Amino acid sequence: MQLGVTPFFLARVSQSFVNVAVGVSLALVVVMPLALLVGLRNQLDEAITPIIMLVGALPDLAILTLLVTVIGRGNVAAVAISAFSAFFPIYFTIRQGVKEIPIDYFHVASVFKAGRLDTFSKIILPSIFPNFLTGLRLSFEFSWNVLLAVEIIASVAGVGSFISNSFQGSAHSMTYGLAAIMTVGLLTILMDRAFFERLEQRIKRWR
Amino acid sequence: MAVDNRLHVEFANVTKVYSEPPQTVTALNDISFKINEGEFVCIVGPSGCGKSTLLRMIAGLDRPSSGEIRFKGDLLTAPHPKISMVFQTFALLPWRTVLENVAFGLEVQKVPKRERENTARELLGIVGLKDSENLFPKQLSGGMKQRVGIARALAIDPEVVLMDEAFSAIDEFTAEALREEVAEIHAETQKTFLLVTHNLPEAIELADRILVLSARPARVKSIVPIELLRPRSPTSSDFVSIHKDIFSLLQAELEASIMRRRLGEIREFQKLRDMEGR
Repeated sequence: MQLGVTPFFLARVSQSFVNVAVGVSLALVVVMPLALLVGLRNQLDEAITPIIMLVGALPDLAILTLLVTVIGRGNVAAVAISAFSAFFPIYFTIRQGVKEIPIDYFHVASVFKAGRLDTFSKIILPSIFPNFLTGLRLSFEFSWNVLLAVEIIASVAGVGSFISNSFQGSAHSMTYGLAAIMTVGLLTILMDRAFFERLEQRIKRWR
Repeated sequence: MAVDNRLHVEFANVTKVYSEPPQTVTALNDISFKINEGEFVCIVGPSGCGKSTLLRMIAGLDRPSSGEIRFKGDLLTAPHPKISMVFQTFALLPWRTVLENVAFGLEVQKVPKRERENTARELLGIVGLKDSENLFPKQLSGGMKQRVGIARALAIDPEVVLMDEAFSAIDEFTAEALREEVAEIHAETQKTFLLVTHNLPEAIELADRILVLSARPARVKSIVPIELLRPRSPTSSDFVSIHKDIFSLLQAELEASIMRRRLGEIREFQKLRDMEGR
């Protein structure tokens, strides 16, 4: 019995983790070009950002629970939930990063005759990298929390639903729920230390 | 008519108008002057008169509303590979080391890594930063940052070096040392230098000629040749008398502009009074 349950809850943790990772990556692919464009073009920003703010202001847990009733309780729903909640932190931090690039950096690019591609890869990308990292970190944490909450509220497959189910069973199964909680916590710390902290250290050399 | 081989940068009836409806502001009004190859020209004028706009137009960062800017006879419409710039804010890229910053211009021109690093090292030697190539800008003082800015500008082997208030964000002692080095670099390389400054002694110390602009909308008020021997001491009587002459020109300009503004205000006031009276 015990041997059968232990891998099961780890599988649930990794299922949720992978869903968050895929969701955040998906959000990144959509957000990056959008936030860059909006940061560089004020007119586009004025047209798009109010809409995004409006969507972001809606109560996400309610919307996401509704989403589950439409697309089911499987991995697809979990990825969609993660992507949705990751969208806003990345969008706003990158947009801000682009807007804060000193105008003189663009002048340097022009005077030294950097092409569009070089201006993008050698001026814009490195300029926004610190913001990108902050956005990714926030998105990851936010997305992880929201997914777990939705898993619990709407019984979407993953570690969240495992935890809430285990709390409804015996004291024995409750131990597994607590263990799952601890694992999620450890995983979050590990992610922070092994991934984000390292990248932050790289920035600190010059920032 | 014979082509003047030494003619380098030429402004012909350049006017710059910024329009931000409902207002239009004329920054530069019918500016014409010629700069010869190898000349060191300083541009002074009341603050906000459009001196920096003028420099930015030579850099290709801004375009005249009317009139022409020519470089060696060719119309300038975009940044030119032989025209380089030093910025007031230094504008170093903080994520790049000193060496990488100096090599930036060559890098985007696809010069091979070893070659551009050798050139960059050579220039770091000239500006006295040989041992700092691996530092990041945040580790440098203001004076050192501007040395990097100067090395970066020279790395592309320009024919014209534009300096936009290049010494004004640096403490005075460091700035003085840097000015002397720039004067030396100018003497050795014989490149054309254009410096925009609001520091009159600085202009007199460095310039072959000083272009004095009037208050906005800027016109060429006067072009003053400085024929003092170098190095120039700011305490010499000739220096002092030149300073006095240009200063009174600027002061007259300033007073005139204040008068113009006052007159404008008085007219506005009269208009208002008339309207109320009606």
